[in-house]
Amino acid sequence: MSLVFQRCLLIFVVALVQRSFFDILWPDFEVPSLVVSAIVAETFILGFSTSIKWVILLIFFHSMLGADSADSLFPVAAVMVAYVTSFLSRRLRIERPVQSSCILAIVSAIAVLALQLFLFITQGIQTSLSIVFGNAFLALLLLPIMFIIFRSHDEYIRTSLMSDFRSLRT
Amino acid sequence: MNQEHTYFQRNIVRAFAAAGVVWAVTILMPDGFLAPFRAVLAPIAAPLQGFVSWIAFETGDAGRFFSSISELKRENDRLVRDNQRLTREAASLAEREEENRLLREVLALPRSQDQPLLSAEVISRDTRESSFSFTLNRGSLDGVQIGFPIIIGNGQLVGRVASVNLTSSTVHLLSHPESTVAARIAGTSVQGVIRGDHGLGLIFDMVLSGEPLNPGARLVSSGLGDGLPAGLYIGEIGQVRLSVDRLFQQATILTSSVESDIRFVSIITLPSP
Repeated sequence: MSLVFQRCLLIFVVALVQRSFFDILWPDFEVPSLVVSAIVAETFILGFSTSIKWVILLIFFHSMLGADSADSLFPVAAVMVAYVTSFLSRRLRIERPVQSSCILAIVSAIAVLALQLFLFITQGIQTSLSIVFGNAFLALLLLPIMFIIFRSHDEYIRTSLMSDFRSLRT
Repeated sequence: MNQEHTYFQRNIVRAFAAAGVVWAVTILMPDGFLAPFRAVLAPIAAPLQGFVSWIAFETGDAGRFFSSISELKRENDRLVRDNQRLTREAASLAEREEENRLLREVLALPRSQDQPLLSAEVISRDTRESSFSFTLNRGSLDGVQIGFPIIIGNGQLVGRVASVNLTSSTVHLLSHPESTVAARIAGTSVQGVIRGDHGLGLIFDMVLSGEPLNPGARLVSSGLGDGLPAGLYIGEIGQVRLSVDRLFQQATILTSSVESDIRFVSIITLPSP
């Protein structure tokens, strides 16, 4: 299975789990926290310019698996989340993995809060504070999982490419 | 420093370009532009969605079970009372049904209750407030068509099929902004229209101001003009008020179901026109 296809499959599964698991389990959570966590993790690992195509693919799958046509400003906001994550990850220059995971998780939770505010400003969607903070807490928990999954796959890609390169040389 | 500045300038241009492309695709493209993509993706995703949504529902049920153990006794007492009441009502209804059957035989009228039903399960949900809808695991291969009514266990109408893929279909709930249903109060000629109330529930609207509109009255579909069969139970009248122009009456509608808890539904497969 090609590495690109594997990545597409991974992103498709993230969108599917968001739509068919989290949206069913917590239908009041307006902001898709798993998708936001995935965007933050992906952008942190790959950088903005490499991750943007995967972010757009994730948004596309998320829209396609929803019941309605993509009609909100969430996709635009998600791209901006990717940019802000890239900006912060360069600025913070995080070296230690534990620290970086904690800071990323906080970034993810803040992104969910910011997106909720964005939905309120652009579409007038109001939600109770307990739901908003519950969703942000969920993003906080999901980010490390997303980070580990994307990081592992990234490592796997690197290893595969290196072994291909070695076999070419010998 | 200057190099870093250039890096962020380049990236912010990319960010805005990407955001612009995504925005253009999602907002500016005509309705149905993404339909071919969905038509390809939906049949592939539907079995997986069915499995994942099953896990979600079971997880939710388990969570609710553990969080509500203290309420079980009270709930049990209430259910016993309900059961006794329903047994009495069932006996009364059986008598009325027999009477109805005899009267229909006398009048030679067709029965309106024998509608073919197709059971379905919710496999994904759209939580954005602008779209009160969900996806079912039944599609055109099962004979589902756009406009088919969706009812839940107690026969309550909750929505209609809005779009159909091969193995899945999208349902717009009655609270969806684009949904309107002609309705009347059961047993009377008081008619109106049911529509969503900006995410706050349902409203029975366009009722002439002189008509009697009593809280607790049962609302059913009137079957006028919107392709729905007549007599489908929708809910009960709640609070009554006058419209802004004071020409019509409006009433909130009380329903027994919580839309976000709906898992299993029945699709009424209407005959093709």
